[in-house]
Amino acid sequence: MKVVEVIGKFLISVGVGILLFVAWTLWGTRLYTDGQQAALADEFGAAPRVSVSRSGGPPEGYAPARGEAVFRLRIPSIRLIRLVVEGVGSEELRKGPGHYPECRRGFSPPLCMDFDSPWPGETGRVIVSGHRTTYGQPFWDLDKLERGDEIVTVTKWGTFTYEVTRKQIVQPTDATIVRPSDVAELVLTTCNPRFSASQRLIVYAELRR
Amino acid sequence: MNRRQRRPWRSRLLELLLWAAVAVATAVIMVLLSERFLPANF
Repeated sequence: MKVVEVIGKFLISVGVGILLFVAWTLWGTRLYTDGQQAALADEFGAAPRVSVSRSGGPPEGYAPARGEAVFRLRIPSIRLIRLVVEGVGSEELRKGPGHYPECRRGFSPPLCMDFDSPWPGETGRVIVSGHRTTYGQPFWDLDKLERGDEIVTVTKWGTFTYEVTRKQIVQPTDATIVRPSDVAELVLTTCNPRFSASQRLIVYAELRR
Repeated sequence: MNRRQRRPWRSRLLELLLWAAVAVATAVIMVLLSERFLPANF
């Protein structure tokens, strides 16, 4: 076999491999996430309701494990319904959008807050991070949210509706959103633009009821 | 004119499997690299 023929066949094989990689990244990862979301839906549905605390959140001591379903996120304007899991590590975000936790057993910096992380219904900044391009691309259309759009969180202690107030694009190294807040707000973050990780898109929403 | 000698089907199948393995290996390497270098919420 001629050397040129071998090199040619090798390059074609590598090209096919790259196409397989793209197919896996865009569509294959979705299959994994869909399976995980189905399992999470069973888990979340079977979990008992908990009483709402005086702060509007779950009872004191509520500390779900990494990757556990914590609430359902519904954004009607972009037809999004996903179960949010606890934690924002790679493993957790493959299952679905992740709730930024406080640093406690099982969670270590920089993927956690060194102060109390609020829950939906409570005063403070609830941060949820999600994939834009891969793993079911839950936040694919996040840039389409407009001021006034509703974001609903269905938890085991109640349903809370937030309204989008503003959007912001920041550098990936910008960690200023991770800070305490005296407003009951929900912050969604993802990569920006689509198919790129050069920026972060941040959507802010405030609790309405 | 000399006609190129046809190779046995088993030899051609083995070659096809070899190139398929190269393609799969390339895809696996790229997936591993992307898991390592892409941000968690890409």
